[in-house]
Amino acid sequence: MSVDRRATQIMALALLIGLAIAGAIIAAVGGGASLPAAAAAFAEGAYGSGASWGATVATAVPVLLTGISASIAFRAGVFNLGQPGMFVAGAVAAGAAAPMLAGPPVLNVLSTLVVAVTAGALWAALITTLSRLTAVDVLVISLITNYLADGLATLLTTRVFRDPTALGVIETRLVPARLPLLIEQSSFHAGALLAVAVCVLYWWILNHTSPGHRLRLYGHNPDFAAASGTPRRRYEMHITVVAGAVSGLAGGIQVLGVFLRYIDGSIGGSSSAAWTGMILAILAPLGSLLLIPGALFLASLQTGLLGVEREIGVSSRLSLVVQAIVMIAVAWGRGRAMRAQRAGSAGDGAPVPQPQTEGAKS
Amino acid sequence: MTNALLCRGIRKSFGPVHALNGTDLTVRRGTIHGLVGENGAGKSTLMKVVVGELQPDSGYLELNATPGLIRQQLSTIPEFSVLDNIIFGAEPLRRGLVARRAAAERIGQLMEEIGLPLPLGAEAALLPLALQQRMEILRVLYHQAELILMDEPTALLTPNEVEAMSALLRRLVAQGHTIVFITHKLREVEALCDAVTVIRHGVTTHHWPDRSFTIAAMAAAMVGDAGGADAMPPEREGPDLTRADVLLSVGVGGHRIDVRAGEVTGIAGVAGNGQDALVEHVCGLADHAGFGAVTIGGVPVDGWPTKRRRTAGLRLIPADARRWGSAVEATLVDNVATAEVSPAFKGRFGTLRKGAMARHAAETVAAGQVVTAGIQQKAGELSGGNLQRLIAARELNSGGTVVVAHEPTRGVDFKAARAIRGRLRTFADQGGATLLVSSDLDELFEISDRIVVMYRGEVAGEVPRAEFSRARLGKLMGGIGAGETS
Repeated sequence: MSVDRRATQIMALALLIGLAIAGAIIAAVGGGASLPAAAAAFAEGAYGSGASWGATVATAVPVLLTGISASIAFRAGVFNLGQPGMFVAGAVAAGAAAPMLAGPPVLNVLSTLVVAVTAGALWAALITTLSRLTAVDVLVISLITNYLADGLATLLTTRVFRDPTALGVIETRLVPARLPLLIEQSSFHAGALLAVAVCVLYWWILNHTSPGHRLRLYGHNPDFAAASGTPRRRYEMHITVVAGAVSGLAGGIQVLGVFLRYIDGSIGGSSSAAWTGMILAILAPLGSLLLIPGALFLASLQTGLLGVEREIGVSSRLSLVVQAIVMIAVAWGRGRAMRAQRAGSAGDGAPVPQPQTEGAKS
Repeated sequence: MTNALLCRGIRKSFGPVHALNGTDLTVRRGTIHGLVGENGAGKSTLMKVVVGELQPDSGYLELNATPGLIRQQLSTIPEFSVLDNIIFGAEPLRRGLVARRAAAERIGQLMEEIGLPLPLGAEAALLPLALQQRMEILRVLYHQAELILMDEPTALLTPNEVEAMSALLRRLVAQGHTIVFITHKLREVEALCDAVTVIRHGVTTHHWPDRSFTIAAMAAAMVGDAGGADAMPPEREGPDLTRADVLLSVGVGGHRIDVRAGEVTGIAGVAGNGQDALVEHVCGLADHAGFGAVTIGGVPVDGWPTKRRRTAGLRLIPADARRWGSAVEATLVDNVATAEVSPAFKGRFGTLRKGAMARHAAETVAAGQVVTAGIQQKAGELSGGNLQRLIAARELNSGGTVVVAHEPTRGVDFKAARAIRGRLRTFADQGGATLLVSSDLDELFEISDRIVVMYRGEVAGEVPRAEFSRARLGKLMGGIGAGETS
């Protein structure tokens, strides 16, 4: 998993180009604001203070975890896009369970997280089972179930777990204990450490253990893995459930670290952090520690542009456009970098022979 | 012009593989011409050259009729209607729109002429295979083909459907069409064809311009033995096999194939007669009806997943190295370790013992005499022969007792093929059991102790080494003399 220097340079170049275009757009639309002023506002919004760091990190946590979740599935070649649904499942379960689970704060937080993880895993198992029963591709089923998850979450929150004292808002009761804040007066919560730990664990398992080896080889060629003895259906179920567990954890952390209850519509929908997580899994080399800076980068795009919104007065719609432009630039750079890497490695070894047995068959 | 098609000395190579090696073919207008040969003889390649899909390296080709090819794997577009499938690629247009009604009228005429009705509005995927095939025939007729090339058209049909198709072909010929009928089923050739050409290893071995051929003569020409004396394969020194343990046993139809320690059992047969299913069944990769209980080392393994069978000593050298035998983007180390890492390379908490894995990979590379830039090279960068050497070495040097080798030398250069055959023989000589599934009779003759012939998913016969002959095997493979077991 070595990202060689040329690939890094290409990525950096792509990022610069993306930021330059974004800056030009802001300067053009932002009513006379200079480019340096916009850049300063961006930096201030993303990293300017403890509070802005906290906001960036808190935004990055669910992106990182759902990104890991998607990365695990993609690694195995399972195109499961059900991260938003699993994320919501974990969040609803956490919001519903936390007030009911008694115990001292530490125990309450831990058991709530276990419930969230389980809910995410069960939701993932449901996706696989549905896909199998209906014989519809998991890609399609997982996308559809994201809407199902949003709907069920609203239904459950409204009918079963709604906080009776909340007026107007559909939300569960306040959690009795939260993930502790690491920087006071900010939203930098302990879930960040958990997310980084999960990412490091994932990296370690992938590169240094036999389950990781199996995941890599299964992703390279599931037929070869099956012939070597990996039971195909069971393994894909297994991988999906693990991915669901990680997304469920993200939901639990979001409830225990940010919202402190499940608020309907706060986690699901089209602005779900899980969509950004999927983008992260696609942009960052699968399964690498680069997921961490990648998540921070995607989060800072959001918080930084919030800063630009505040200081320069561009609209939040524009900042969505700018985000998209930067992401497209990064995706372009990634494609170029991967091509450069491939060309490099092909040049090292023997020329790639293309044995043609097809035509010899009769 | 009396000849619809004339080929002289056509050559076509794919890398080191000579698919066509100076092939001749003369097809007279208004005849049904049988093109016969073993699997891999070059029949399909020749047809692709005729329709211009492949450029020959050299040779002379004269076409006096528009050719239309009906492939073995039908090229139906499943979601399209029958009508749209037929007109695909030559849609009649009226003001930029497809004039379906006009097309339907023309196809209706065609169907009437040749007496072949089809529901034009139906979704193609819903038609039975026999009707899909008729649709393809209509398609080439609609595209105004006069020379219809049919690649193994009866492979998918039941006997009754074969009858119907034969009648259709005769009607087409009566209307002035010419047909090239590719098959390895000699009975059908005898029943239908006006002339026959046999090719073997890309070379025309025999040509009958009229109906003077016989099944026996075709069988002999097909397997490369022009009748007469059969060259007896040399006797092989070996242990007394009758008392040795049965290491692998599998039921096929009413028969049971036993592979004993020290023995190479060959499975012969024209491809598509159940060999693939046999391999999948033995390895636990898929369930197939018509196969019976499997034992490995005397233990019944029915219902066991592949991994457990491998633990019991089963190994597989698959027919398609790139699809089933390797991960081309992974390193040689990872390919040798496979997805299911042996316990020998696992430390605590499932950690990988990478040093031991690398040493094992280096040993495997050395044992297989794989030419490589290093064990960190990607498997896809190896040549076909080297990749196959690597897979053979991996499967044969990992403590297994039974190896299933499925077309282990297909598409592999001569030197590597010889090395792999030698290794398969050695594996048995050292006490293992080898099941060699191959469509190459020379290969089977070289290392097998006996050959079981499969025909239509059944055992057509079993021939001990002392009785090996191309004529005998050829007949069994062609479905003649089934039930004749020794």
